[in-house]
Amino acid sequence: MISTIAYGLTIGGIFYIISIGLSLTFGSMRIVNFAHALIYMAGAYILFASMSLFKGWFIPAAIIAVVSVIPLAYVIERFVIRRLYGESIDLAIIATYAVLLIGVDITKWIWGATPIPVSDPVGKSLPVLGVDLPVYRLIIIVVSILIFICLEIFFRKTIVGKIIVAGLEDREATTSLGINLDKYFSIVFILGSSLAALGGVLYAPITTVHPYMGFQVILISFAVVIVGGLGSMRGTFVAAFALGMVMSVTGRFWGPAAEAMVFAVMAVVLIFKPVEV
Amino acid sequence: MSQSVLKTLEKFSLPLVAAAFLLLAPILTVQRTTDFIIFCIFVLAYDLLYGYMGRLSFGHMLYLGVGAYAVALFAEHVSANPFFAILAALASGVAVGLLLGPIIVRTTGACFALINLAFNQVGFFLALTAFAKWTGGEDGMATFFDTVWILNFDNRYTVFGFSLFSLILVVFLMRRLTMSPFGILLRMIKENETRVQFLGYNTHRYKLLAFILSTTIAAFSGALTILNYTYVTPSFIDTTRNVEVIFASLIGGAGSVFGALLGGVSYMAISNYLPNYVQRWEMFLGIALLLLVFKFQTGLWGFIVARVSGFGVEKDR
Amino acid sequence: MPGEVILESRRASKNFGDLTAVDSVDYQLRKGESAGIIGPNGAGKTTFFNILTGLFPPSAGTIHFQGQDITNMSADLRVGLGMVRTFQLVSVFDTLPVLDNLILAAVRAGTEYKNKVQFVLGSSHPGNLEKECKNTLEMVGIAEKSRVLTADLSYGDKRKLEIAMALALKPEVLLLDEPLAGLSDLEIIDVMELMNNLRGKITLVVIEHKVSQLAGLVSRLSVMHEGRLIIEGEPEKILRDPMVRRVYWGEDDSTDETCN
Ligand SMILES: Nc1ncnc2c1ncn2[C@@H]1O[C@H](COP(=O)(O)OP(=O)(O)OP(=O)(O)O)[C@@H](O)[C@H]1O
Ligand SMILES: [Mg+2]
Repeated sequence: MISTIAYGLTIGGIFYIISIGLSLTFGSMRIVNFAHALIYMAGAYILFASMSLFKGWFIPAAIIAVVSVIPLAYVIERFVIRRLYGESIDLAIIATYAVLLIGVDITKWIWGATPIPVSDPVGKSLPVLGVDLPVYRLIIIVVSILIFICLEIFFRKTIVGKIIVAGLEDREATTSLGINLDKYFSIVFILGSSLAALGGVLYAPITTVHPYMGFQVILISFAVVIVGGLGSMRGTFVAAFALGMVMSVTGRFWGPAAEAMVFAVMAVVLIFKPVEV
Repeated sequence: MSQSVLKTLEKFSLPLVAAAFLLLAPILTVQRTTDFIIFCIFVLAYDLLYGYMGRLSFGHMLYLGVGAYAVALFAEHVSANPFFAILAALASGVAVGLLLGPIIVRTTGACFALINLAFNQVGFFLALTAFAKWTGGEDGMATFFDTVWILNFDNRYTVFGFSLFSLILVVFLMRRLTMSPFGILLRMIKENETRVQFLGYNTHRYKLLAFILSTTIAAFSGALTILNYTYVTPSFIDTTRNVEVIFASLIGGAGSVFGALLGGVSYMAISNYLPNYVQRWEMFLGIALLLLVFKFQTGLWGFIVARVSGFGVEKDR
Repeated sequence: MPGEVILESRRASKNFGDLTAVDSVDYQLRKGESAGIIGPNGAGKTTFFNILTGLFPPSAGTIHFQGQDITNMSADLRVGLGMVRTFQLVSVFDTLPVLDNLILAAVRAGTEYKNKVQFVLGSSHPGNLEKECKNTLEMVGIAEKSRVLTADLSYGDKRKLEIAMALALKPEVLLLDEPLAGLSDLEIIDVMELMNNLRGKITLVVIEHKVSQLAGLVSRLSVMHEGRLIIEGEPEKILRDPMVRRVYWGEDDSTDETCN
């Protein structure tokens, strides 16, 4: 039971880290950014590639992975997302999906389609209440909570953060103050993308790295965003852990149903919550 | 003058569509043409939601799969009469629309796209794992049908003829649907749903109707698919395949029956023949989609209409 | 001459966060009368229309139509009762031909489509319906543009089309939100004539900034300020009232005509 809870918190933490960016682009532009899945996957693959460079040393490889998606995110933002402003939302969704397709194919081209395992970088376990828990998972939980705290401070205390929050709440009012929101949303986009890559990096040792890993995760992130409320940072945090728990508890009883259960929860939320999206 | 070309085309659309596919059959082989025809029905089902009502679904393979599995299960457990099996598929299409529609049609935009995708994923899981005892899991199910009267569905030509007949029927239905007040209502909902409520219409009800019509026609195309292939596997409803019908809708031109047909045929032609020459299929699809989104939003049919009616193609860009 | 109360709000309020856009407004409309609502920008006039017509429910208070409490009734059912409105920013369907904008309104008000099957599968332009819609377009003076794409109309023509849409619904109560805004002088004459013709035939409520035009049209004028209905009465009296002049024109009483 302890290990189920710990696992739920671990994947909840990872869902949170990945969903931030999705929630922010959802909140700011009302589009679902499929390319987010690409960044997430790129993070995991670059980790794998640079691990061999650093002879299996995890931390520098992780840093390289997170940093090197920034230019990728910038290119996607600049040449696809930004050009889609004013186009219909549907076309924007399709375009980001197209970017994901291209990215997946390039990944297959470079690394092939076979799943790649990444080993646990810590490898130790800690006894908690008589159950051995991998230290690595505990670290993930701590990291995700740290990120939450940092983001809370960023959005509530810094000028840039406050502007972004204002822009998310009322785009027109904020632009009418003479603020160029596009610039700030670019920052948001890159921030969200780096976090997605971090999510890919952290998740890689727990699952396997493969070209379609992004497809799966984006759906779960989407469920997190819906359950947590569009553009709501705190909601995303709570929803991510809640759905992580749903997944791990379901998985304990019937592995294959874990993911379906997440969507069932989302459907229930959609039924009872009036959505204006 | 050139407007009259379009008028004529509209007037004789049914025989023209039939003739076009009859001509394609000897060129592409009968089975492949059947494939094309069935896919066109699916694109039409999709376009009712996307092109007319402006709701982009990323999970429509589910509704196709519901029809396919309904036929297979019905044939195995109830009766091998293909027509009863198709009726069962249609009923399942209605049922899934009634079950999911009330939740799904409350959303728009990105939410609509992804909630369909999520349900598609759940459906995939159900077919692959949860109901594996009945659906055969990954191996899928094979089906055999009785011969009814002179209609033996083991015969390619029978399947072809029946599919073509079905397509004509669906095209006829779609034209009636889209040229009725309901059709105008859908286009209005696409443009400004709130405003439609102030014309005195309960939009939720009509969106639900459109959704159910779409799932039912999609289920019908699923039923035909299994007549053509005689088996169904979970790969039929793989979520990553949704991009096929989106691509077809875009390339043909969303929001027109002819556009949907043109898109269905174009996508099938590309996907059937191009992979022989192009190694990187997904990359090709991605790039082509980007081009469609950025440079060719009207699609083939929009392009043709603009050309024929003499309005500037330059006007677009 | 005006009959019984047809539309009424009782202490209706609407808050947006901290802002009280409409502040416990009591308002009564009698059958057959023509009434005007004026007030400076941001006074809450449009928001008041929105809660009357059901775009969103009021935060507090109730709305009644012919004695029936309709506070929580959806917008489409209110249209069924005969309450029809237009929007401050013209709202028509740009992607459709002009005539098609009217079809559904005419269908809603008429009896052409006896059942749902006919509505879903029947032709959208049966001869008599098309003729009826053409007549409505004739009434607002844009009949010759019936086949034009709506997006290609001028703003003034779009306004006329929107009024035609409202008329096609055969309203009992018609609520017009700044029908003259953004129109040329010639178009204003057209629309004024149109509204004058409607006067007495249906119950009419008009929000308008062009006060002098409005004064000639309506028999009662209500003034809103910061969400409250501060005064109402005969137009001449209201326009001479010092308090009204103060909130509307900022004290001095030099001009009669106002912003846009
Ligand atoms: N949907 C909304 N959300 C938040 N605030 C709103 C909303 N609609 C209106 N408001 C605010 O409510 C107040 C009243 O607005 P309203 O549009 O009703 O004024 P109005 O009297 O119609 O003004 P105008 O003459 O400019 O049309 C304004 O301060 C406006 O900013
Ligand atoms: Mg207003």
